[in-house]
Amino acid sequence: MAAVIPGRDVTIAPDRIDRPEVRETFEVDRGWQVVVWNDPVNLMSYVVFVFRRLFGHSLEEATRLMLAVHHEGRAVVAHGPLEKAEADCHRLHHHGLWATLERL
Amino acid sequence: MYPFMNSGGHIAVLLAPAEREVLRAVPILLRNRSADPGDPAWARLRAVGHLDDPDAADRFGDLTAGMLESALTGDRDRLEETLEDDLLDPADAECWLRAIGEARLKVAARLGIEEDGWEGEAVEAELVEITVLRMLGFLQESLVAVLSERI
Repeated sequence: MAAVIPGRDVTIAPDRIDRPEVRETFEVDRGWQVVVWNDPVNLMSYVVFVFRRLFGHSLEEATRLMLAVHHEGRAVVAHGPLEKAEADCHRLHHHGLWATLERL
Repeated sequence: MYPFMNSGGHIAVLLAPAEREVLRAVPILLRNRSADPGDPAWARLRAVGHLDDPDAADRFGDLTAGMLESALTGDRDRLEETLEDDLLDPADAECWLRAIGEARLKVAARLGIEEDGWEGEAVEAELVEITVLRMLGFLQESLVAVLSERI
């Protein structure tokens, strides 16, 4: 829309503003998941204990996760922001479990 | 006889002489951990957080390797310091649990155990290391049982 200055018969054209050519896109960080992988050495009972101790799972849920690791080769045991997921991964490593991180 | 029992706020240690002797070897076994990439035990115990991103894996390793080594050393030291005790605090028992687990991983890695079902083949091999692996497994399972009662 143009602007009119009072008392003067002058019309000022608006500046033309170019649209920015760079389009920014933002990737939403949906967080990370902590995966525990099967290994042939750690005892099943020990893995269940670790899941209960570290994540507060019930015996039933910890057992379900352990069996998923054993039969399917892996299971997601925790998720969250990168810092939390890395802390969880570190705690699992401290307990000798083979754990890695994946972006959600 | 069970090697461990809950006893009030503590865990009673009822180890047979041979079991305690095996546990005495654990700190020695773990202290000799080498940082040799060619050693399968070193490779198994090295913490790799990111499988598909070498840069992130390096960053995670830089962030946690020192903490992990310090934590594992702490477990090993507590095992050594309390090895002759007849009563354990639950926190010390968890140090035993992790140190025993680390020793089992190390022995298994050096034996080349990579697949489930090794127990059957191992019986035929009759190696001393397999006997150690089994005894440590029995002790760890017994500790898990008493510690699980406390959760």
